[in-house]
Amino acid sequence: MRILLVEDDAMIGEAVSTALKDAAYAVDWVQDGKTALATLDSAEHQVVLLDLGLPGHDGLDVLKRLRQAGRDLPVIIITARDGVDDRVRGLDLGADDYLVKPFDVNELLARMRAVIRRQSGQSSPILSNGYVDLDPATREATCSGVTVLMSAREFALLHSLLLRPGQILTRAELEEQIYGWNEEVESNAIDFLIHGVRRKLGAGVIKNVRGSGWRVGTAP
Amino acid sequence: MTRTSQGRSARRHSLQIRLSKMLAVAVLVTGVSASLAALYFAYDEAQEFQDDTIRQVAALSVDFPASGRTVHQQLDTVSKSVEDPESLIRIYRLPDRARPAWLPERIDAGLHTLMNPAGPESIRIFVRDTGGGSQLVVAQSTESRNEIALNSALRTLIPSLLMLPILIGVIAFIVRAELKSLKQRSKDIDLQAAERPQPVSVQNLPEEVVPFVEAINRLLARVDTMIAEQRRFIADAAHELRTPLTALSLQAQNLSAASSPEMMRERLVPLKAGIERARKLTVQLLDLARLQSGEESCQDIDLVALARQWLAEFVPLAEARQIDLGMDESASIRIQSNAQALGLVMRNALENALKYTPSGGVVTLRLRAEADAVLIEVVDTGPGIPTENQAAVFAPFHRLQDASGEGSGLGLAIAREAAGKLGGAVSVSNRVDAHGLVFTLRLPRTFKGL
Repeated sequence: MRILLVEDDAMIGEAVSTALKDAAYAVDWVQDGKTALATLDSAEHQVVLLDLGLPGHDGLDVLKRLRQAGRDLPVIIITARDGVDDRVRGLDLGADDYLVKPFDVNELLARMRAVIRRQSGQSSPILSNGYVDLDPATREATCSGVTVLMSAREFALLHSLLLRPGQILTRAELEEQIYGWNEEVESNAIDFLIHGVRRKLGAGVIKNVRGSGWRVGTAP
Repeated sequence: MTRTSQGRSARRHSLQIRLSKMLAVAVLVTGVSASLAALYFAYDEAQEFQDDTIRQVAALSVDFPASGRTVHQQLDTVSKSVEDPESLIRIYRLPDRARPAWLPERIDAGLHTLMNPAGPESIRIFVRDTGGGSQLVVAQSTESRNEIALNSALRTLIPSLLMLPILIGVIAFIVRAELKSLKQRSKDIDLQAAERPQPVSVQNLPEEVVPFVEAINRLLARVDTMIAEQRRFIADAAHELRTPLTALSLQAQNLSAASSPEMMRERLVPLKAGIERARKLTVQLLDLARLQSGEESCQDIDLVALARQWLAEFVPLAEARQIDLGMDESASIRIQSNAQALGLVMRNALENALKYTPSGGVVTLRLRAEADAVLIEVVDTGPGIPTENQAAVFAPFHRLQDASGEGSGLGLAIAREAAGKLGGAVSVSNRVDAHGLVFTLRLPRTFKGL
């Protein structure tokens, strides 16, 4: 799960990045609107966390351009502007949620889970394909009646696969979802994670499709 | 109520009461003197009128001597039937008729007033020579004459005496009505909300009061601007406080989520930096608040020595950033100013210069003395500021477009406020000889009032 964080304040940006990484998100952090727009063009992100008071392009401007370009990925505004007018404008311009600073990390994470859930068309907070269940709030996975707590990376891997249950994801795609820009990725990191998930939930939980990639399993 | 305010209210006066009183006194004085004059003239006129009457009686008696007797007889007859015989006119023919005691045997023709030895009252007579040594005397008691004159004179007084109280009432009414618009305006002002004072309408106000009301309106406008500025500042300050607070709360949560002591130590570093930033912002806000409300004392200052102190404070930071910080040598300059406020201006200027100057750059403090002013300049080798943005950098919470997000945008606002307190002014301009910014504080040589 890859997140774009647009925040001009160095300390807040750093702290939010840390918190998101703790929660198993891959984070790309940019500090101005121009870079944000360029980044959104070049990479696949699941959620944008957008500050409004940005140098260069204002946050609302970034949001407007994003929606004008037909991009419908979830955007959560995180800002110190708490006026009703600001909230209304932000939501009307296409933001999915609005969080006023200072906020609690847990609230931010919960709201992110909610917008991701809505984006994937699910109403239940638990991701499932009928065989594997994943609770993003507790990071617990259930398969064949066994419930196990996933590590942050394991969760990110399973989450990515479960968001697109029928599809095959390549190694590069999985790496992009799990690791942020400045994180070094070992060549066998994905294999290592898949091994960990299979050990916890059984071999059938992730199926390898030779030569192309992986998909989430539907039966043991 | 204190003594002073009592004294003040005693000296204060009501325009309405004063106007009413003074106009009433004026009306009374002129009314009474006019009435007295009227009384005097009416009395005089009545006397003359009666003199004319006895003169005419004399003429009648001379022209008709036969009937003159008749007149006398008739008058005599009448005199018996009237209650006040003294008011009557009597006719005497001298010397052929019995003469009353008060009438001398011979008297000059014309009007005379004679004393009556038999009674207290005097008698007014008209004597006319009728030829052959005989005289005609027409006499009337002065007491009754005076009474008649006084009565008729007093009657002329009645209308003006009736007018006086009416006039005073009308004056009081007019004065009150004229001042009513003023009372209404003061009521309007009393009803105003303090947060947003509205100008007082000058409609229907007397012309003389309009400049006064307009002056009040100008004051209200200034107060309104000041309130708006303060309100914006507080809103901005609250907004700015959110940023370090957000960082702090996130950093603290990250720390508590750390899974190993190493990670904890690692995450303590940004938390400490966050606390330092919050502390600094608080200090800056306090500096600004103190400047806006406080009063600074004036001291004799050796500017060169003070500048050396500032430099010493910033040398460690400059070294860490590999910036050559120094000062142009200058002869001793002494000024009357306040070292603390001066320090606030120059520390903020130096901090800014060191922040925006890339490492390897040069920051120079320059002191220059002019005839009546002293200039303190900080010259850096940073990127400078576009001319169109140079004025805006002094607004509170203003941050440059490419600022790194550190700092509150309060530094230069504090510098401007402090310079203002010292009677000086701050400005920034781009260097003409090279890239870089010149920050200038211009101070008066001596500054008395703060």
